[in-house]
Amino acid sequence: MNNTNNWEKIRNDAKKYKKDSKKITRYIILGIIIFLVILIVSSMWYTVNDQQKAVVTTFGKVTSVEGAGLHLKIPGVQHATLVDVNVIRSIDIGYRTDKSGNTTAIEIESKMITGDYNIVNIDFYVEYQISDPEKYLYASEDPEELLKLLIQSQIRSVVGSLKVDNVITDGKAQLETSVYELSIAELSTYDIGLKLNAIRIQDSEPPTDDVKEAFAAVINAGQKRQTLLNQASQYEAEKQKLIDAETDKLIKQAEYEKVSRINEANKQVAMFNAMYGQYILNRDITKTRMYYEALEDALDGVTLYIDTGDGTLQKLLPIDTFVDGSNN
Amino acid sequence: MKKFIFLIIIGVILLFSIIVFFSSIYIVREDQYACVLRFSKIEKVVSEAGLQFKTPFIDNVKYYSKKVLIYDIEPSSVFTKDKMAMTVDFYIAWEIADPLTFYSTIGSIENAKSRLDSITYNNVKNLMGTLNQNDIINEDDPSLRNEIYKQITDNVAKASQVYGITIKDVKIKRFDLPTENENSVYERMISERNKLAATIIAEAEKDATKIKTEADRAYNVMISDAELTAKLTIAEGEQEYMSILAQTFDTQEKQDFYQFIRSLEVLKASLNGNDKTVILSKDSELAKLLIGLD
Repeated sequence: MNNTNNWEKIRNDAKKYKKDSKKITRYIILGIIIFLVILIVSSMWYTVNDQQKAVVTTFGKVTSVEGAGLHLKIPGVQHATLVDVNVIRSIDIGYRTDKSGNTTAIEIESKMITGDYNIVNIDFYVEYQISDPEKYLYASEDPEELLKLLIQSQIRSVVGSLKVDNVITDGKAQLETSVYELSIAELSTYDIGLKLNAIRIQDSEPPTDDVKEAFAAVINAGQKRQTLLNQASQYEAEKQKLIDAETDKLIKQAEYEKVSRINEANKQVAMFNAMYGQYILNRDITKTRMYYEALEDALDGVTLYIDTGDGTLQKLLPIDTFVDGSNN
Repeated sequence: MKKFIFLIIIGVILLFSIIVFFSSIYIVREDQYACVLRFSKIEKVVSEAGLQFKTPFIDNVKYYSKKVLIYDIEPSSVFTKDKMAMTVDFYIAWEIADPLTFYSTIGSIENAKSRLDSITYNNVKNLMGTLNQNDIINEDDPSLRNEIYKQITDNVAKASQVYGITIKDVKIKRFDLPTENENSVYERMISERNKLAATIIAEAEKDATKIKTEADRAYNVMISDAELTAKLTIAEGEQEYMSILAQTFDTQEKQDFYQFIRSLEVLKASLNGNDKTVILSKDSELAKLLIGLD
């Protein structure tokens, strides 16, 4: 009896277990299906941000290019490649900047010969954008590398047609423009989906320290030249000032002399007229008086001798009485 | 049991169909050519991207790139017509135009590169041999070099046509003097600069001296002119002096009287001063006068 009961129990347990395991398997399968559905549904959607465009291929063939937003695709059949079209990218030519901002010179890119057979070290910074995402992806093997090679060749062409002084100093803008224009023209024939925004000279200098020093010496010479010319101009200005002062003095002095001479004449005329007026009244007496007065003035303090003609000198003056008398 | 065997047969058939299906389709990308090979022979070339069909198991598909490929060749040395060595470093932008020809004549990108290398090098070398260094390095239009490159591109393109290759462009990205010539260039640059500096200073000194000399000259001329004007002014004064006096002494008697006054003044002026000694002859008018006074 017990045995029969036990057997019954085992059979019942086994039935129950079988039922349970069927249930579990069903759950697992359901789980996998749900997981797959989620996976498929989630890969049916993709998002494109403002900076991007999505190139959508169906069995490898480009079927559309989508802008920003949420988009639908057929999983496994369609594929979307996101391309940063609006981002401005850059290429360094002649140097590299690492993450911490240190730059290393790449002489093989920067050192080149100028049209007048000099050598310069010149670095460029290039800005470009992806203009056509489809061409960017499919037209060439490595669009950036091709652009860089092209610009390098155009830089060599332009620098090779300029004088070293233009390249280092006043011709930089012209150089940038020429490289930019030539590169744009050539790039359009490549048609690789890139657009050139700008080419700028980062640095342009003579190749070695010794040459740099020699170039600096020329700049110094230019400054010294300016100093010399300034000094000469200053000398010239001072001389000019001196001319004004001295000619003015000469002219004024002469005018003074002229006026004083005329005044002298008028003074004499006045004196003479006065004297002559007196003289005309009594000619002889006036003349004699004037004569005596003059002598009196003239002989004051004079020792006078008369040569008598027989070898002796007779002292005549001063005579105390005469002097006293005249003084009285 | 019968049912089980039936299920297996169905399963095998299904599996087989799936394998056959996947073996008879292939996908061509936008940047690819697909060559359908049957026993290593190209049956057809598909250049249209998308889903394509082929005979299963028998046909193989080989893909070639449709993209513009870059081949950046190692720098090499060439001589110009005037026997000047130049280092040229060029690159080639090329593409497979005819996969059928490409496959039968070259087969791989690597082979193509080595072929392009020798074709291009020969062309560059030959063209450089017809140009003087001055034709390449000069102060002319920078677009002239692109003309030279175009010529090289055309020549290379012609020679590469037989391989099913199209040459988009051949350009020289570096075109320089050999490294061993650089030091002599530096030395020349230094000596040229030193000369230039010396010339600038010498010119400046010359110009400065010129300015100073000119200033001195102008000064002397102006002062001399002013002196002349001054003299003329003084002369005018003198003239007027004379004229005033002359107008005053308009009679003989006035003139005589004036002379008398002047002679008295001369007398005063000549005898004026202390401790003077005068010796007169006893016959002189003055002596007579003085003796008479005595």
